[in-house]
Amino acid sequence: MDFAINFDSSNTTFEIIGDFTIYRVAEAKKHFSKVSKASIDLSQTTSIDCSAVQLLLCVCRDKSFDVTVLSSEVAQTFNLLGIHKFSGKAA
Amino acid sequence: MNIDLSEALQLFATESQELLTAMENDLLALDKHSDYEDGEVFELINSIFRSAHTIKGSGGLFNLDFLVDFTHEFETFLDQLRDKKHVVNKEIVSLCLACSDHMNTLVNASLDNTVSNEINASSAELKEKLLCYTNNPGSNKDIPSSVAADLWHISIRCGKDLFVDGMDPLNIIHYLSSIGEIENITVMETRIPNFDELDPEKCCLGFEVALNSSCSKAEIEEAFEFVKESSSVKIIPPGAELEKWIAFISEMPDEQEKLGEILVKTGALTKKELSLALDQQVQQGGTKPIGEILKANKFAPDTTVDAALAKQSKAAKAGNEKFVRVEAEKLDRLISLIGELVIANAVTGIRAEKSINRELKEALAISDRFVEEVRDAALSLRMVQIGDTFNRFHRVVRDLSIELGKSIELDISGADTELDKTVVDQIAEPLTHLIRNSIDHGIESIEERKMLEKAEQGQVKLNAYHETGSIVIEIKDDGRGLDKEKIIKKAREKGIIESSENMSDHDIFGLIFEPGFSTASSVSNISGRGVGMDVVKRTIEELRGTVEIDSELYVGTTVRLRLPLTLAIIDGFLIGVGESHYVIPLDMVDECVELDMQNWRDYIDLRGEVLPYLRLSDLFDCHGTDADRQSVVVVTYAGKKAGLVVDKLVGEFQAVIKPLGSMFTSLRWVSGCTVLGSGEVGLILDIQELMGSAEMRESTASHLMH
Repeated sequence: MDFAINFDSSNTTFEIIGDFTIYRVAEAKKHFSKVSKASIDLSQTTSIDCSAVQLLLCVCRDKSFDVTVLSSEVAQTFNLLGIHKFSGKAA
Repeated sequence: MNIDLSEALQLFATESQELLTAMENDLLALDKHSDYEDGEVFELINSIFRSAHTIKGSGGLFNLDFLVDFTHEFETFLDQLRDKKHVVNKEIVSLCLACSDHMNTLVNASLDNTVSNEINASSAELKEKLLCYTNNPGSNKDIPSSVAADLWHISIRCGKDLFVDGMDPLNIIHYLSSIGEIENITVMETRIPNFDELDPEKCCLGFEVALNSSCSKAEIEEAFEFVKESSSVKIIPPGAELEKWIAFISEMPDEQEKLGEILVKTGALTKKELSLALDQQVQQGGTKPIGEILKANKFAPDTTVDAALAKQSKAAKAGNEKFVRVEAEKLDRLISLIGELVIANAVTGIRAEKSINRELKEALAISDRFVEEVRDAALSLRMVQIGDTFNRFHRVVRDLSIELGKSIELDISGADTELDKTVVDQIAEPLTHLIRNSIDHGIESIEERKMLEKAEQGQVKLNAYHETGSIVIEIKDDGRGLDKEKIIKKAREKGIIESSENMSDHDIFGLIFEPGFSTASSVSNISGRGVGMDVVKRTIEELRGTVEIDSELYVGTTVRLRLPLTLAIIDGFLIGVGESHYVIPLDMVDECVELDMQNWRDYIDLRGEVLPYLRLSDLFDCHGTDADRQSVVVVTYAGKKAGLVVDKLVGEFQAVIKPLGSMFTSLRWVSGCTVLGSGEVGLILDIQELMGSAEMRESTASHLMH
C-alpha cells in the first residue's frame, strides 16, 4: 500500500495510509503543523516505527491532537511500548 | 577489674564521625535523585542505612542507650524508605539530614557519657517526626512499579542519531520481549522538545523497562550491541541478583585483584562495560578511580562496586598495606624535629666545606640527599586532599538555598589537590564565609535571574589547583557581580577613601576587605554586616596567602585565594645583600641575570620585555662594601614578573620557616625567617608584597622605554 496522508477538513482528521516510518515523519510533521486541532486515524497504517511514535506523542502532547482509530498492527506496537493513552480503538 | 574505655570510645567517635560524613554525602546525593529512576536511590538509602546500623551496633557495645534508642528509630524509618514505603523528597532528605546532625551531637556527647536536657529534647522532637512517617507507611504513589518488583530494570536513553543510523528502538524492545517477559514499560517523553522545535528524524525517546528474565546481565546487554555506543543504557539487576553478586564478592578469596576484574567475575559488570570505563579513564588523564567511573556511568550498582572495593581493600590489608591513624600532634613534632635536622645538616655542610677532607664531603653529600628525602616524605605525611573540606559545602549550599528560596548548584573541581593539613584546617572558615557571601549577595533570586535572562539555577564553583609553589582556591559565582560605583560610594561614606581617582578595579574591589565594609542593602543572618571579609583577608594573610577579586557586573564574581603549599619547610634560594642573607622561595625564581653596573634606571630590558626591579640594599638599607658585580633575580608570582637586585647568589637552600615574633608584624616585604647553617638568621622575602612595589615602577618604566 502506497503511503499517503489525507486530511479531511470537514471533521479535521488526518488519515495515514501505509508504512508510517522515519521516511515519512518529516512530511507528516509538515502536515500536522498546519492545523492546531485534529484527529489522527491510523486504521489504514500498515506499520509504525519509533520515529512516528515519537511524532505522535509530541503532537498529541503539545497540540490538540488525538489518535482516534488504530490498525491492529499499530495497536500491537503501542501495546508493546506500553502506550495506552491514545483514545483510539483498534479498527 | 576496671577497664579504661576512653581510648576505644575516642576511636568509636572518630569512626562514627567518618560514617556520619559519608551519610551526609549520601543524603546530599539522594537529594539530587529524588525519584526512583534507575535504582540509584535504593543503593544510596542502603548505604545510609548501613552507616546508621554500624553506629547503632558500636554504640550498643559502649552501652550508649541514648544513641542506640535514637538511631533505632531512625533506622526503622530508613528501613521503610528502603522498602519504598515513603517517597523520597526534599522534606524527607531534610529530616534525615537533621537526624544525621543529631547523631553527630549524640556521638560527641558519648565521649563524656552525659546528655543534656536540650539534647534529650531534640531527640524526642526528631523521634516524633520520624514516628509520623513510620506509623503511616504507604505514601508510595510515584514510584514506578518496575523498580519495586524483583525484576531487571533497564533504563534506555536513545542517542539522537539512532533513527538516521537505521536503528529502531522498537526492535530492541521486541528482542527483550523474546528473552523474557516485559512486566512494565514506560516511554519517557521528557527529552522530546516542543512540537515546533522537534526534528522528527532525531530520536529523543527513552524507555524504562521492567523485565522478568532468567538471563544474565551480559545476555541482556546483547540487545543493545548496536546502540550502546550512541545511547545510554543502564541495566539494574533485580534484588536477588544484586544479593547474589554481593555474596559472590564476599566469598571470593582475598587476592589482590583489580576492581574491574572482581566485578566482571561476579557478572555485575560486562567486559564491554569495563572496556568502556577504562577508555574513559584514559581520556580523563588516568587519574579518576575506575570505581568512580563505573558508578558515574551506572555500569554497575554502587553497592556492588562498594562491595568489590571493600574486598579489594581487605585483600590489600592482607598484603600488609595498612593505614595507621596518627595523632596530628605527633606529626607536628616529627616535622619540627626534621626542621632542626635540616638546620643541623646545613651547619655540618658549612663546616665540611671548610675542611679539606674529601671523604667527609662525599659522606655529607649522601647525607644531604637523605635529609632532603626524609624532609619531603615527612612533609607529604601532612599533605591532605582538599576534597573533604570542599565536600562539606554541598550541605551549606543546600541549606542556604532552601532558606533563601534560591536554586543553586555547587560545582567542585580539583578536589584531589593536596596541601598542608594546617592550611586546610584554617581555610575552612574563610571559605565558608566566602561561599555564604556568594549565595546571599552574589546569586540573584530566581525571579531576578529570569528577568536578566540567566539560567534559573545559579552556580557556585569551587576549584583548587597548584601554581608556582602555591595552591590557588577559586570561589566563582555567576551572580550579580560587584558594583564598583556602589563600593566607591560606600567607601566614601565610611571615610575609607576620599577620592577614587587613579584606583584600579583591583583596588576598588579590595575595599570590601576593609573592616565594617558591606554594600548589602539588607542585613541577613547569613551575611551583610560587613564583619567577615576583613577577617577572611586577615586569616589568609596569616597563612602567608593573598586574596584577589575579579568581578563583572551582572556576570559574576571570582574570589581567588593563593596559599603556600606548606607552612613548615620550603626549598629556598639564598642570596646575599651587603652583609645580610635573604631567602626567596625557589618556586618563584625564574632565572638570574647579571646587572649592567652602569644601569641607573629601575628596570632592565629582559629580551625585549620591560622588567622592573628593586634594589634590596635600598629597601632593607643594608649597604655593605660595594660589590664588584650585582645580579638580578627574576621572580614570578601570580603570572607577573619582577627583578630583585642582589650582591651575591649563594644557591639553593632548604629553609625551615620560623615565624617572626609579634614585634615584627608590621615589617614589610618579609614573610618569615630561617636559621642558616652559620647560625645567622635569614629573612624569607614576601615576594607578593615586593611585586606590588615593583609593579608601581613598571608603568613609569614602560613609559620611558617606548
